[in-house]
Amino acid sequence: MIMHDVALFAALFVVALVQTALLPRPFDVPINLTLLLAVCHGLIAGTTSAARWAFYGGLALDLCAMTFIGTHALALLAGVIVSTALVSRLSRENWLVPILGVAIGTILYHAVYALFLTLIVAPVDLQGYALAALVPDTLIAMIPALPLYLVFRWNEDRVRRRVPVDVY
Amino acid sequence: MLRDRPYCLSPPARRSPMLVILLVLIAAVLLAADYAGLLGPLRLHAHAIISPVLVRMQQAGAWVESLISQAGDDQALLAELEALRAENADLKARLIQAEALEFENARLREQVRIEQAYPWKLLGADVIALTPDTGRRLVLFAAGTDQGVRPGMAVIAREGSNPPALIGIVEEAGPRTASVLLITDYSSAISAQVYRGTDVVRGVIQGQWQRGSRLILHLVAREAPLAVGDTVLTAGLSAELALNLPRAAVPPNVPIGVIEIVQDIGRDRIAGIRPFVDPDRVRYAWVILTSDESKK
Repeated sequence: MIMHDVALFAALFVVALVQTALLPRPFDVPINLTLLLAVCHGLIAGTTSAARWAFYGGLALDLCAMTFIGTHALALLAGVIVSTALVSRLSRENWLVPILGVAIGTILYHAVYALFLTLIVAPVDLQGYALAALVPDTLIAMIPALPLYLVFRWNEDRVRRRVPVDVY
Repeated sequence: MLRDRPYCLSPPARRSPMLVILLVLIAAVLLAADYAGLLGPLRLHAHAIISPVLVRMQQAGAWVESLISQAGDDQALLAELEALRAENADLKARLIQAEALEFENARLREQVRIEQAYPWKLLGADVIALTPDTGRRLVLFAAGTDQGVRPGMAVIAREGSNPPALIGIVEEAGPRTASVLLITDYSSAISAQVYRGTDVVRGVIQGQWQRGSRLILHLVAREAPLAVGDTVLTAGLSAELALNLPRAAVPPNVPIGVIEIVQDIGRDRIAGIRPFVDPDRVRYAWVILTSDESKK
């Protein structure tokens, strides 16, 4: 279990590195890959597993972004837990599920993050933050949500077919 | 017995809601600890390790970005290349047009020069076809009655440094085309003359292509003073006599060729003539529409 968590953290740390250094920024808006992965994974595997992804991914982002450790983690946890808990009630066949989940997750992530920034760093101009960060980030994140979700679903189907068990 | 196990996700929230709460609490504690400065050294060490990796990755990212932008530049270059190709094609078309105009201009200048040197009004046109058989020497001229061409009119052309010379007579004229009987054809017979000082020697020019030579001047008196190198011109006898015959349209003094050989056969003197213009090679010619001898 511990090794599994270490491997997960390592993988998400690489994701955070990629998100920080490699991913393109369309219209100067970064793509929140960690949030996308956590939400899509949560829609497939459930809120608890998604919370682990959000926690490790958030810590990795904190390390890469040089913010207070826990800031991104808490913001991601809030976004991922609430969005997956809300959206997972819908049918998984509905293609709007990932888009809606990612949209809710991004909005909550930014809301919590802006709150922490206000509390820890300096008061944030909410209207400016919404226009400069929340809306563009949400729109950009919604674009790859569906393809990523379909990849997760395909992977899940692939794994399920590869579970041979002895039945006597 | 092996069989795929039905796979069903258990509702995660029911599985371990405590874990979620625990993770949130841990994150909050970490944040509080870092805010309090307890994790500062640890965070700095982590930054020291991560920073070089991030720099390398950013360099790699910049390299990939440059590759992508270069691909974009290539696209722009390709688009520019296409535009230049289109422009090149347009310029080539214009060049061809300009060359055609220059060619036409040269022909018109040539026509003006001839009209200034001779009392003729000319109509220039292309020779668009030759007779397909080798037995006749006829060509199709790209002008007809609509342009004022009539049967019997003289057709001239120019070749090299030679003067404009007769190549044939309009035999039939349609609205837009006319068939021209070349002077080299066996059935072509045109009155001709040679100036020798104050004397004028007259005879008939006949095509001799089918016999191996080109033209022959015959029906000349044996004592006529003909010599090699003399210039043979049209006599325009029908025109002078104002006869209502097709040949009446052939004006006098249209150059034909030069005498190459003079022979006496029986009571006649015959001269072999090399025409100034090889009618078989002519691709553009002029019809003499009118001749005003008073202008001379």
